[in-house]
Amino acid sequence: MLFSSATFLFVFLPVVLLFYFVPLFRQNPQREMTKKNAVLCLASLVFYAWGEPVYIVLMLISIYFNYNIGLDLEAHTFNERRRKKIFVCAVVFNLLVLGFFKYFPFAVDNFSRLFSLEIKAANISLPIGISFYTFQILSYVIDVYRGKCRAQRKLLPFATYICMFPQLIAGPIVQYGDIERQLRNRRIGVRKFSAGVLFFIRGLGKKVLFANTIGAVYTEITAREPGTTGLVVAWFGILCYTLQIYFDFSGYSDMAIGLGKMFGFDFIQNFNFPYTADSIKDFWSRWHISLSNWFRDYVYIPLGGNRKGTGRTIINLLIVWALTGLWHGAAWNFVAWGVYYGVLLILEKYVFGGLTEKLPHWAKRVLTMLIVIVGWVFFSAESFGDAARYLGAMIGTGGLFDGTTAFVLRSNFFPFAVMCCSALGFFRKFPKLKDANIRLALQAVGYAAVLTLCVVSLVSETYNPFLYFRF
Amino acid sequence: MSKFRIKEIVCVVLLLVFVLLLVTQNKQSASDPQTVFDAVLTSIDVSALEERREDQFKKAFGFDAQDFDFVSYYAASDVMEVRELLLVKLPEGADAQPLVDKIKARVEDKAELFAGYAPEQSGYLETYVLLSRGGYVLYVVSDTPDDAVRAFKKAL
Repeated sequence: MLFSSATFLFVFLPVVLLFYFVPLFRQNPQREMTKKNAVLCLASLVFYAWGEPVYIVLMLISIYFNYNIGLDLEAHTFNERRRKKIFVCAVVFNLLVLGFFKYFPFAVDNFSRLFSLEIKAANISLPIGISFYTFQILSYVIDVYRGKCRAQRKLLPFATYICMFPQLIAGPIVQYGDIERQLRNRRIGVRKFSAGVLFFIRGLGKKVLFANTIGAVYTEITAREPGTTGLVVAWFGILCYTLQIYFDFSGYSDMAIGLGKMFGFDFIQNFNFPYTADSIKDFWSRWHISLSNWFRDYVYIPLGGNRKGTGRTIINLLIVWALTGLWHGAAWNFVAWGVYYGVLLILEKYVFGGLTEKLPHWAKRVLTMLIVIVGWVFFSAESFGDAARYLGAMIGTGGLFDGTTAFVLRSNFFPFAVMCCSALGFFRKFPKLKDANIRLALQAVGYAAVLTLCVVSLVSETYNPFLYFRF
Repeated sequence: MSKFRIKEIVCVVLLLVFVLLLVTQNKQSASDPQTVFDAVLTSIDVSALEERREDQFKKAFGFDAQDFDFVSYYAASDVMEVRELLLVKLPEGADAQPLVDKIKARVEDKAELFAGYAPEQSGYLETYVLLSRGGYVLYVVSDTPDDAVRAFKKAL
């Protein structure tokens, strides 16, 4: 079930909110919170089972296993050797689960190609959100092992943390330490709920009105016969994808954050106008922030970070970025995309850092955007071959113009321009109205209009993909 | 052995069983597709249906029949009839999900179309069967879809 679907908006969400907010234990806030967690947990399992009921079993096994791991770790606080064993077992278990369901076919395919064998992996579909919830589970196990937080003694709050539907299938990746207290006690009020609704509508608008619209343009351009796309259209196409992936993913993150707020949670911000970044490092501090934080806290720093000399820092960066690429998908183009950023970050840090610093701010931003856009070619392609073909079109192998250039640009220019302005944060710079009442009224009208347009669009449109589902 | 360790081992065993079941369920059946289809065909009433061509399959489901190892599609020529039968054998290693999604969307569209004025047809759509097993995808809209499922499972 997608957040941007009529079933979710008009059936699932209202029903869950109703059960969540109807108080059963007015006199006992602790029991009331337990009831709220139970409603949320149950709703999340239904939400997950909606698409793939079979994988609910996998999730429940993972939850129960890791819940016991936490308790086991805490039961052996003074036996470091035993703790280490438990910790290693837990990490291996979780990585094997992720590896089997996500990377096994990829590994088998590469192995059989390498040795010219005829082996085929079992055809098992990828459980939705497995990369996200496995990383959340790992964050819990690692934090408990490090003593950063206590093990969760109750199964219900732990299960709620892992399977909470607002962030279950597309993040943000919430680290256990950041949410532990909220699972026990959180403030739920009208103000927070309204802020959540606004966040949700904003995200829905980004997804339905922007990402879906511009995504259709990119899909149409890439569906053409190879070699028939001119340079201008190829650049326009990848710019459309650049906007689509941003609005798609940040829209979904906003919806998740908004839903979280409605249920009283505060999740971390996952995007902060990444296309206004003036360096690659800056870009990654603004794009999918929760994933960058996860890799920093649980891979880069434990590997030694930048504390063990230049050589080791370079190796650590390459490892982290290859893993980041691989996390996004079991295919070589994702690994290449990750390593591409790893290499660029190394170059930025050790080679060109001084040079780029001297550039004017606008030039740094343009340069960063160019690098990001080229990166999206690898990311969006189905294979290396496709990426190479598309890059070829971007340097003019299909000529400067093709027969459709004027039509494509003319028919899509207005929405494209609006989305560019939005992605670059121009709209947030509008002068704020002094009169609070007028501001509120305008805001209400604006959000109501966005919601109405989204609903109309959802009812009439069939093109509603979600790019980050495959992760 | 601590109680936690026992529970952890139980989880690992359950996971292995789950994976094993998943792999066996998704394992390609060695049965001949025509035999499987014949078994399904004889299990339900198809007097109102007729075999459809490859281009009609493509029109209905958006996929090229050539992309699959076996396709047999029966539907009625009467536009007011929703009953249909489809059996597809997927090539080894192919993902059934895109076809399954397409079929689901087709059923939803039809259900919307017939809702309110054709209760009998809507009833058929409510009890439709869509099954992916052993490298096959079976889709049945019929008055006795369970018979088709039984015959299908037996034939695999």
